[in-house]
Amino acid sequence: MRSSEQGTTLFSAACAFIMIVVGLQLWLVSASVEALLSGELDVLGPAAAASVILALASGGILLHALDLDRRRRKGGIP
Amino acid sequence: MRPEPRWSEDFPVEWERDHYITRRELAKFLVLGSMLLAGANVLIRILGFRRAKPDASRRRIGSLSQVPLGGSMLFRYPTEGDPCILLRGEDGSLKAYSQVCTHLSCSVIYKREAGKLFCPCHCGYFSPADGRPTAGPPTRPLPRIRIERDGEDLYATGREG
Repeated sequence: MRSSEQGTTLFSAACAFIMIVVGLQLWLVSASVEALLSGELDVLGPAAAASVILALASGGILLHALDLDRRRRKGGIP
Repeated sequence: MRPEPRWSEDFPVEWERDHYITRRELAKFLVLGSMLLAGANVLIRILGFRRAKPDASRRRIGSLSQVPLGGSMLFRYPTEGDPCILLRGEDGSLKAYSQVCTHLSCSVIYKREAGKLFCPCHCGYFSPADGRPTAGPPTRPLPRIRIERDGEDLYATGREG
């Protein structure tokens, strides 16, 4: 595989993963708003924690992909 | 082919390049959105702390003479910001529920002729016997208010659900 194709594949995979994460977070936000309006406050904490963890995971994936891409450009990855 | 206007030499705008979004930029944009959604969830959690249920202690809400047989009375419990509705059945039984519809928080009213609690916003119906939704968009029952009778006086003593 050519180097540019590797980069494209890398960021396509990262985008796909992050899109799934964002979809889950959208669902969490809508469920949290509904829970808040209906007074079911117990679920808000776990939902917020899960959303923060997902955001950190997506940020970590992006940083990892950027790092891999940087190393690939330098020739560190065959 | 039309020649390029002279101004484009002085102010070059590469439209195609401007509209080109790389996968890398898309990934960064998505992560930004992810962070914002996490922030929104944390904000909702903070709003939840502010709306934490107040202490539902025993409080007088009125007297029995205020509620006719088969009728209803509005009161507020446990705070002045929590509207509730008290129902008195034809047999004299007392039931009370939060007046806030579990669909989109409109105020429910008692339809005496239909014998049901009714939300006029989206035509939701609740059973006066147990507060469960019977028709329309609501899916959760109305929170129930415990009522105690002491002679002619009526007291709210707690909230369930």
